[in-house]
Amino acid sequence: MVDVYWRIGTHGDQPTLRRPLTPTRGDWGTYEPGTITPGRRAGRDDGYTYVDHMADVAKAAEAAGFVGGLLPSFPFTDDPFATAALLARETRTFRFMVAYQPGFLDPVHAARLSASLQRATGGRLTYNVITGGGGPQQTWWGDTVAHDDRYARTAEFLDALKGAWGTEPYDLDGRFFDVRGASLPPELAAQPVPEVYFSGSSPAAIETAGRHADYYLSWLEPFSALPEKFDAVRAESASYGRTPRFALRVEILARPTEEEAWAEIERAWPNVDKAKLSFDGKGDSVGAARARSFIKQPVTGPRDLEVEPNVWAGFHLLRGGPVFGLVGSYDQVAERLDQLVELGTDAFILAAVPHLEEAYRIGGEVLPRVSFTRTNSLTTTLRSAS
Amino acid sequence: MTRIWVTLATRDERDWGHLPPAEERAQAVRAAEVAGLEGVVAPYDLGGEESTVLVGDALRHTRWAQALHEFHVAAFNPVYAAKIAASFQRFSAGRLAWAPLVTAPTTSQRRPTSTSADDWYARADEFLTVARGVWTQETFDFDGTYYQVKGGGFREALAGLPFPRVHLTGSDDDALALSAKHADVHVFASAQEVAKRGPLVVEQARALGREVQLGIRLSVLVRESADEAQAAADRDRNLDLVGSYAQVADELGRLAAQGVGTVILDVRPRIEETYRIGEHLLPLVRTTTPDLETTGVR
Repeated sequence: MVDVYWRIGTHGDQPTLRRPLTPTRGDWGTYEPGTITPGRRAGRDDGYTYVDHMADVAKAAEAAGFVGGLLPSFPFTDDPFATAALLARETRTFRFMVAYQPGFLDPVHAARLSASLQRATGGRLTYNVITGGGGPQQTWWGDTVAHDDRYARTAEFLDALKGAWGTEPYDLDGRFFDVRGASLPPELAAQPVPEVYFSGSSPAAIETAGRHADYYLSWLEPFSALPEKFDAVRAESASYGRTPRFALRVEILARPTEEEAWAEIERAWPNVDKAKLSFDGKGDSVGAARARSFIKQPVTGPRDLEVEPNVWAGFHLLRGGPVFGLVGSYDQVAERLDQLVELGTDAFILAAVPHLEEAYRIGGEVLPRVSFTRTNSLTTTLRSAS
Repeated sequence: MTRIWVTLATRDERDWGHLPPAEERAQAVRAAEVAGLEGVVAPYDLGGEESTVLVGDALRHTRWAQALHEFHVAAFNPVYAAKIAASFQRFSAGRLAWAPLVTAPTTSQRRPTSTSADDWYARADEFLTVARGVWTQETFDFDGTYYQVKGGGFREALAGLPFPRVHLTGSDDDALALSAKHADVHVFASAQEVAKRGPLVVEQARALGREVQLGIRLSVLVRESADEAQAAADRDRNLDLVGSYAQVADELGRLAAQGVGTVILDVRPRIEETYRIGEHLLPLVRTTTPDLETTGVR
């Protein structure tokens, strides 16, 4: 059974990839006619806020057969825990995959917050535990702990969170946290601890993941590079007696035919910031530095970034986020997802712009074409039009 | 002018060993909303439901009511607490208020640990300085004992939001000093404390060029007549204030004359008594209604 998640943008959304980095959903772009949540009506604010759009994306993902959606967390995004608390009662099966950095919360308070959310949602909270890339972004958050120490803190945090998640008093005289007699009230302790989707690619990350990850979450990379990455996590996990599962975050651009899919990128190409084509790692995308090794320079057109069939290394040029994604016909994309499952992928976080409309497209056109078995498949309610 | 709030249940009113039924709490929020109260208080309770979750749910299912988020300063780092608050403000057109707790019990904290009340107040001072700093400045640095920020500051859609009104509590010198520096409202636990310590906190704030309003937390029971109220109170727990609508309104008026503009009521059963307050007590009390046009939220 493969869990297929969708994603909810917490930094607004753009209506199309053709005009890169021009959000009109949410209030991160220019606030003028044509913007949605908030919008304008008769010259005034229409009273909607970005959470109204996020609610619509969550409902779309639920209707289209996804098990839930990732809510990402960066400095200028909305907060995933706050969003999940607001939307808890508005969906029925949608799982909130909340991204957070363990250093920013106290583990026992995080346990109580999470258990209360589990109670409010009927157990629909999932964690995306991120430990942070360091540098200016970490100190923006008020975090000055060094890289490998942050992974040690993540491990201690998850130890403490799980330790306190019960009715017996729990103590931990830790390096980072001091816990004395912590427990949860019985009805919260009875809630399930959320599954952990764990991000990070350094040796320290993989060591921590081996101890705590239910799923080791990675960006899509060229298919040829994935087995090596999976093997490293498998080996580390084995020393803790655990068998890890693997999740991939995959951006998708799928159309009825391959030509139509590439035509979208061709239309966007004149509008992309060509400075980002050097992949010098100074950009805002975390995958950019690693992506460089897969790309043959010079890049003169979009197809030069197709590093393997249907694997395109240019998504960061069109919207904020990771570099690699799949481009192709519905059949091709479905086939590539099948191959990723054969390579060892156990779960997906899929995304496409715009997230609302594309949830229906991918749920209605691509997911029915895959041959692996999905969890909670509701696709019978959304029959493919073709 | 008096702002009247009611507290939400973090445990079952009928059985303190259990959590409240979710639908009943949702109805208690709706009661405060339709009855025209200032808002609801989501209390910090280690043995009950977590307040951040209550606040999110309350803000989503109301249009007017504010939500007062009570949380321990140990629960979040201040940047993250402010980040959560910014989303709550954005999603609710500025209806979030804050009640950070300093010396309430906590079973965990991050290092360096606070072991005395002095430590906790020092930590809370840093917490509130950092939270407001990143919120109001686009570039913010801070190097404290407990918290360090470099190149902080809310930008893009997080910039320019109203900072939640800060409600602080306590009656000792440390508590008043913290309020003088950081609080919008200092909430006392009794009328005696208001009389004894209220003027002092106002004066200390003024010395810093700030204004602190006073608040009070009261458990009340009101009925049409004093006799009815007393008869009902005999079956109830210890209450701060029991009386007819007119008597309780008079008492709130006396408190208002002493500068008490915020009244946090604990009433049980919550739904029924919140309706009662909205329909019978509120018309007798001079109240404010939140004016969303002036909150500054887009």
